[in-house]
Amino acid sequence: MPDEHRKLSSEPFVVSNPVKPNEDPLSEPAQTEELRLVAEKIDQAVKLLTEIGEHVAKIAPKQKRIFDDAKMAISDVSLLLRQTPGGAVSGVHRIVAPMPGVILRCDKKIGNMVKKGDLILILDAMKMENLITAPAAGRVVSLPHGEGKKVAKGAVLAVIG
Amino acid sequence: MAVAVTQKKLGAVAEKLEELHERIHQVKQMGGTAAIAAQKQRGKLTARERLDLLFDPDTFRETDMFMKHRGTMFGIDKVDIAADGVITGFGKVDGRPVAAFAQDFTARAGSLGEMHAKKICKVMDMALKAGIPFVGINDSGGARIQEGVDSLSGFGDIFYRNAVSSGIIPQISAIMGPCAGGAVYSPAMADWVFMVKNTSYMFITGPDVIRAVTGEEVSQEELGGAMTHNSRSGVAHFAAEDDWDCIEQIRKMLSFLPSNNRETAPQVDTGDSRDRIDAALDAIMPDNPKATYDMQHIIRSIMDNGDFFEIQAHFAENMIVGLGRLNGQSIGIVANQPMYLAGCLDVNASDKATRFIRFCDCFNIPLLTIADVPGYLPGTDQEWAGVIRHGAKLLWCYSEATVPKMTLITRKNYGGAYIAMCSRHLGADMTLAWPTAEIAVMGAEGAANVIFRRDIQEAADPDAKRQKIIDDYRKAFYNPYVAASRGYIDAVILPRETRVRLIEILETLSNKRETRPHRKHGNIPL
Repeated sequence: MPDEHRKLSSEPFVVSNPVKPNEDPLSEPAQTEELRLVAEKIDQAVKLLTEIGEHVAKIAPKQKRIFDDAKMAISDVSLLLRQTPGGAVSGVHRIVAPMPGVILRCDKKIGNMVKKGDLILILDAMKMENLITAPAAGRVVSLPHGEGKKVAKGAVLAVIG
Repeated sequence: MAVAVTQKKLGAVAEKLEELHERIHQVKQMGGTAAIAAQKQRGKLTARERLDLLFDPDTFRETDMFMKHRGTMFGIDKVDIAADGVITGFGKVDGRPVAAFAQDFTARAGSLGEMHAKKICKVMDMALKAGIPFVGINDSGGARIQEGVDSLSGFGDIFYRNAVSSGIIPQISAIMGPCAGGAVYSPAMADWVFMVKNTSYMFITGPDVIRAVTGEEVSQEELGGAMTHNSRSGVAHFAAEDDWDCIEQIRKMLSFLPSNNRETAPQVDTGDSRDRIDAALDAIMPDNPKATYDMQHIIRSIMDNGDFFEIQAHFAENMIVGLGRLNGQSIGIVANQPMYLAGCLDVNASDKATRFIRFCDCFNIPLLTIADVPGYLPGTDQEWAGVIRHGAKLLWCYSEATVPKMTLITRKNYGGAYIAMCSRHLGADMTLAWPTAEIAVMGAEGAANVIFRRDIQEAADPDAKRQKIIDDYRKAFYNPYVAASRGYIDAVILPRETRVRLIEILETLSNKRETRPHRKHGNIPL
């Protein structure tokens, strides 16, 4: 199970091996043909963005972030498409760094279920250990940065879906 | 009506008395039963019900009930608008006089025309002359278009009075329905803006205009609803659940305030002990100096009965402002919140605190500042948003304020932010610190890298050298005693005795008089 989610995070845009319905209250709904096609297209777009991003990184490293952001935004769309209408998850929540800092400790792993207010990670910033908590209940689907990583203000720290 | 039947039997005088009853009855029908039902359908009270809730029972006295518009264009001359769409008058709130108006959305959508505005202006003039607080309840479709420029003139006359009365009488604005276009600026000039969730909104241009001009799709609630203005824009200060909650909060706000700038706030017997000690405060600070704690606990422990009336709770949450009482006396609290953005200062926190500090200074409400601040928030967005001019307001207004100013330093107090949080240098009358206070120009890590950069680079073991320097710096500055040795801190106290020490200082400063050289007004960086 955790491995499956790990895979989901590194490639959050493909719905591979969807969990069987009713096994998990937050499971993905049965995929319609149209949704599957959209997911495929998103997958292609992300691969393309990754490729371009790598090229750009060599020429203009600062601009690479634009491609990372674009990938993140598209992945949000993909997550939204996979949600049960009116289900337990009402949207994708991206937790962004409220200020520049260093990730001191991750309390949650990808795939963990969280309740609103649960501690996800600690951000060392402004001489303080700031507790970053879940804005809503859901599952941690992405933790883009590891412990010890320096993050800018506005960087995505976690995605709850 | 029964009146018509009995009329023949009445004498001339009795007939006149009866006519008055009939006329009052007519006006009190407001926009008619259908319009009132529609108002209720939206979950809103009528203007008259709102005023009845605001004032003590049977104390509201209406003025200008029979004023009528004199519009002639576009058929408006054939329309009778009860009370011209706004109820004005005065009454008592907790036994003290207050003036108010409430727009009546049931009567032609509470649209504002010449006479509607004149009624509001008359009651504003009375409030200013009498030195009593003024409450405006907004629920209006906007300018009465048929009256053209007369309606605009009405808005202008109200704005002028808002500005002239500012700092002399408390002005409170409640948005309890639509408030759009020019109408938003009277509330914007009041001291406090209350909004009701889901039934009120404020904006300059509405969703339709925005869609036509910029193509953006946005709902009324998202564009200018209660939570938008309470959390995003900072335009509003309170978000009430419904009409009842809103009026209740306004009454609570008024209870903390004097009637005007020449009075002091009423002394209230809160029943809390003057000498109450709270041993829990000794343990509230975490051993790890980087760990967070909730500043609200400290504030509530100090205040009478733990009663703290927070203002703008959803905006710039790194700065807490609000009103409470110390031994029955109203007091304004300004405090950093370490749980949000590490309690740092930024553009919004500076604006929020400044407006509150100046309000307290206007109305003779002493200030208590509780500092735990790591500094100003770094970043291009802050610099480009003008953190220099916004941050300057905080220094400016603390220096300007002449009410008793007390400062308590609980932990961090660094650099420019130390000065800004009502340091002695800005005129604090008394500065207290807990033994956990740290007062320094910058954090140990940063300082070590700046002062001893070369020493660290040239050391045989740079990391060990850096750590030693950091430890030395911590030992030297992470305490209140260096500042105390210079007299920048007046006393280092045990956390448990904070409340009683503050009350003693407040009693000592109760007759404080501070005057400044005469000037027309200062030029605060806005």
